[in-house]
Amino acid sequence: MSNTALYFVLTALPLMILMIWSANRIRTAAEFYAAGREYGGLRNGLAITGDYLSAASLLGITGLILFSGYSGLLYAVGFFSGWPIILILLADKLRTIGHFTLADVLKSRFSDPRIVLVATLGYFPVVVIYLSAQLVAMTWLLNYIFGVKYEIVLAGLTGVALVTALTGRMIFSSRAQMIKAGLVMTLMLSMTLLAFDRASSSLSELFSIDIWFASNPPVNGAVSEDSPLALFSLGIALILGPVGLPHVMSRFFSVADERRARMSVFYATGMIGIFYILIILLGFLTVHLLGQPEASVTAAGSNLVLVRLAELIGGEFLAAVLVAILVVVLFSVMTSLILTGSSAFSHDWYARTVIGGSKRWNERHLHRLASSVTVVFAASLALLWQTENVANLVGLAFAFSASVNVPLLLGALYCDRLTSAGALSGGLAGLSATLIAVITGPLIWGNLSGSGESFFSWRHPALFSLSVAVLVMWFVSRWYHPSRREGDSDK
Amino acid sequence: MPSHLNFSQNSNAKEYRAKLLIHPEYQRLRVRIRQYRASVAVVLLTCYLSFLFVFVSFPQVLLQPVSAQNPTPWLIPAAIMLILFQFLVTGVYVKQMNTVFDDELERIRQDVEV
Repeated sequence: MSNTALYFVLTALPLMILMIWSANRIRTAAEFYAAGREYGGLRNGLAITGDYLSAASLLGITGLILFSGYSGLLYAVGFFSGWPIILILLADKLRTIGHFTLADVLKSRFSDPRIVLVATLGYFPVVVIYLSAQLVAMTWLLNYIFGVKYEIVLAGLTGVALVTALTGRMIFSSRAQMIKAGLVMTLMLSMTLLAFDRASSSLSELFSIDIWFASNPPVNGAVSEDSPLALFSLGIALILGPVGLPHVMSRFFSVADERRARMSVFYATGMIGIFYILIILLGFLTVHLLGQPEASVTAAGSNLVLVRLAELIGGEFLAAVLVAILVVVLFSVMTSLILTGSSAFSHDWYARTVIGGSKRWNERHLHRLASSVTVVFAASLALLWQTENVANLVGLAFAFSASVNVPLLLGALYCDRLTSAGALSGGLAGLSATLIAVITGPLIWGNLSGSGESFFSWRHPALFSLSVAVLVMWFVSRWYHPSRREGDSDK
Repeated sequence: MPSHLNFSQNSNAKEYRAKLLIHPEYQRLRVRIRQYRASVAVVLLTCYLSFLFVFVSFPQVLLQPVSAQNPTPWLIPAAIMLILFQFLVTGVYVKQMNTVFDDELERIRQDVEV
């Protein structure tokens, strides 16, 4: 066993045991909420941070800043900016009306149960793509440590994910999330300091545009490979996407009262802000220390830039510790994604919306089926997307969320004129538009055809698909009124 | 659930709720909260969208160095300032909701109970 692998196992194993041990298996939502009652604002804020910190953005954005510079910054700002919007547009409002999931909100507002089904279908691509980003990142990290081929590591991870999917639910406790947040932040801070020391440049030289352009010469005067509209579309997906993620809100409701809930979001906002500012710093430190991207180009695309940086400033020990912590973080995100994603299907939709008497399937079987299908889809995409940047993939998941669930959620909460028919057709239109744009776009069509050419040229279609969804919602609500007997919108 | 809307189904609670809902000050407060929330959301979205607009349409503006001595492009301080500004706005919002509006709500509630 190489030194790196040894350091990795020595760090990852105790961490993993600690996480699983402290993840007291919480079975019901009520227990989950009760578990957090005694937490104050700061502790709950740290737990929220642990939920939100994403190893995919850490790995992906640093890579993007090194490889394409300009658009990497947009990811850092965009991923952060969605967060205060959640607090203001959603958190207080949901707490006031007492509904905590999208399905609950839609059910209380519209009489047509098919709308909940559309929202559930909208979750599916979000969870699958988000999960595939975690798989790509984890596979490359383990590939780096053990030197085993990508496909074999991926197969192994898929096996582990399937076992998780079949054996049941594990919600990482607030304590586990707090440990996670503390570890990641400490590691990032020390890496920034070490790298800064190593780079021995002043702060003003650090961001120097000449060094930046030396590694990313603008092509024909364009600083980004995406067209301005495609970048704008990405920016929209980044800020709206988090609003519609399946599990964002749960920990917000686990504290006892509104004041503490708001305080905890305030603390979390601060810590998440520091996280993204550190990512920007680390990104530019890699530009300085790793220099020309060619030197560090590997099969891993831009995903292992941060690990290379750790190797450079702290040797194989630091690199192994970084990988170990990131793998544990990715793993915890993976399990919670598999489980929350499929419970949106089996519990929120099937068990609670499909009319009681006509249930043909056992909810638990359906849950297992849904989670296994999710894992299989995500693994296939992870195979296709092995060289894609993981932050890019997270952005794609956000595009789905921003074009299906966000318009449904915000429409149900804030737009009195939205009718059942409008919500149903708008949600479906948003979902189909995103699906078509992604499948015919660079990430799927471009990758499969090998030539990189595609019908739909934007990598992030949110601007297009969100507009389609909103237009259809508005048009149908305005002009289509089959009969007013059913009291078609508000209950 | 906020305490002022957390009612069980008994008639006392219903009566209390009805009283609260028609209380003129309560109605005024709800409008104020809604307006406050909307204005904060508009401030945040405007900041982000204007950053995004300049970012995608005029990259050369953001890539200009801060000064002759300092080769940092404006993009970096702009991005960091945007993050800090949003954090600050979140802080102001939480403070306003947790002190001013919550206190007023509490006062109206006591007024109704008496």
